[in-house]
Amino acid sequence: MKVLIVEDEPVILDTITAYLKQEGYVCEQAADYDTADEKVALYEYDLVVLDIGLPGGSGLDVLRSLKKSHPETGVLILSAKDSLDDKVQGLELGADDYITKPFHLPELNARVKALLRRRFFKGSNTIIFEELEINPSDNVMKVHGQPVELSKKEYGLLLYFITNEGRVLTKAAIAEHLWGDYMDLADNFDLVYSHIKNLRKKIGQQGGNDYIKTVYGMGYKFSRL
Amino acid sequence: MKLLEKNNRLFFRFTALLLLGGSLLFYLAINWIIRHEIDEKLEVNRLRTVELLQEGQPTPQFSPIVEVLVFDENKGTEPAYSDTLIYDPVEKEAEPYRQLISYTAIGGRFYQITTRSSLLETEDLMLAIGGCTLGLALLLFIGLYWLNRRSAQRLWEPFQQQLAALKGFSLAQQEPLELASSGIFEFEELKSALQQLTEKVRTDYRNLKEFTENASHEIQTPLAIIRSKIESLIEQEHLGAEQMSGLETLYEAANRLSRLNKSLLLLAKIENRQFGAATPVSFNDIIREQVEMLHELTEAKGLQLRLELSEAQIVPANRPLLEILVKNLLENAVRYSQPGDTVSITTSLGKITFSNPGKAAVEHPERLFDRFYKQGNHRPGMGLGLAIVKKICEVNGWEAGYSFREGKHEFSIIVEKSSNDIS
Repeated sequence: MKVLIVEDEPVILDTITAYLKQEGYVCEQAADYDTADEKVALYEYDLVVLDIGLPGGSGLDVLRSLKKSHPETGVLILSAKDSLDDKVQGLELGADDYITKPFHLPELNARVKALLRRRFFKGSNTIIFEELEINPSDNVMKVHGQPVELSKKEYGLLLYFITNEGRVLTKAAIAEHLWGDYMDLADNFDLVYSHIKNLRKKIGQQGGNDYIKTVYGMGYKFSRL
Repeated sequence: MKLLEKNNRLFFRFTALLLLGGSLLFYLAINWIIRHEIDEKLEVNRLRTVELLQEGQPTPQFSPIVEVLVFDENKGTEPAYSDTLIYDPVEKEAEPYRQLISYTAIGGRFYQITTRSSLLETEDLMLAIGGCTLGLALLLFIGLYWLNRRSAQRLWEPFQQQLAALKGFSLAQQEPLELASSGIFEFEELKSALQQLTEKVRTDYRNLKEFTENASHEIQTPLAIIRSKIESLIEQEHLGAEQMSGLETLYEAANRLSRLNKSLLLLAKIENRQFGAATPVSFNDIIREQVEMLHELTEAKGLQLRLELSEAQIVPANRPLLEILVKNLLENAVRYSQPGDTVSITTSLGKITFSNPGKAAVEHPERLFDRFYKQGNHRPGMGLGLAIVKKICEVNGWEAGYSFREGKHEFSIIVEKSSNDIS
């Protein structure tokens, strides 16, 4: 999968690139409007991660010309928290998803994967992780072929873990992923912990392994044994 | 005391004193002149009587105007004027007279000559003069009072206008303060001073606001860098517990700062009215949505949520803003409740109320909606949630209020004023 990352802040650009490279994507960078516009015109990408505020022009214009030349390319918009209009306009112009800054890298990764899954596998591909089997299209999880009932949040949590396999997910990133704007309250109630406990229990009951490791006080990591 | 009133009071006192003093002086003067005239007349009558007696004419008697008494010996002293009352058989009452009693010796005989003049006419005259004076003074007084009042009112009119304009002045307004010209030097000076002052205040306020906004904007990127760098750092396997705990503290602080920054930017954006146009939105729908999203959290805390959504509350508003409003109020109620409490949300005509049980009213209800105001020893929030609520109400022309009733904190949003909603 080939991804173009358009972002004017070099440190953030590099961090995103490094993160996505580790996930096995081929990444290219553009730090301003002209470079971005040129690249989307010349090359073909599976996905463009697009910042709106760019030196030399608007990311929305890049989106416009991209949709003309390569309509099949997926687009994930990075928008500043306070520019609701960019978000709406971006989606109207054909962007697939948006993520507001500042974001957690695992969140970006999850969005990228979900987007590519929707776009290129029509959402029907089953994710298999060792003995776990997940089908995002019908919210079913199987352990050793046996269906396990998960709550919506537990399901979301597991999917978030598997998409970010081998990564440390902080409690804040998980809370934000699952509860959005109510993450502060969720954080206060230690809900992340209780959901992880339940998830472990449910997988364990069906003879599944515990892939969730606690990383000091920071968060959790889902990885192969 | 109003300026006009004070001015009038001063005028009133001065005029009253002047008129009173003037009248008294006038009375005394007139009285003196008349007395003087009468006394002269009495003297003349006396001299004529003496003349008649010297000519050997019979003793003149014309009671009570002229009375002559004859004595053999001299009883005389100096002539003396005095006032007296004499019974008038015609009018059947005692009437006031002025009299001059004098003694004269003519041809070896002694005469006591009394000449009198009635004071009745004088009294009538004085009464008439007094009445006229009083009437005139009263007329003058009323006229002057009215004139003074009118002219003062007209004179101060530009001032009143300027004051009204100043009262309506708001820091956040886009246009500079407009004051009408009066053509009066002092008021023109006041006007230019006011305009300079308000313009300066407006500029300062705008600069300060811009600074806050710009600062918040500029903080975003470094914050994002800090956060993402920490997130990549913790991926590294070789970090020990100590480094991790340090990173955790950093990460939490960065997250907190990031949330704070988001809230500040949101406040600035609401203040600048950068949110899209209002569309009809159902308050009840939004409350249901937010409660649904919060459901799991309230359950985890052991809270009951009670909804009493009676009337369809369709208000013209920006939907995302309304969601934030409801979310913040809900979050506030949940944050400050204890496990087992019931949080209730009630909508009635033009009013939405969020209530949760509490021990006592907050200490400073008037500061509740201020930025960064936090109450006591609760688990601290950002201190901006209610400030955002207030700001959203402000831009929509609603009213946010707090009261403590029957052991419950009540936050209410009054969307429209209705007369039957006072209780």
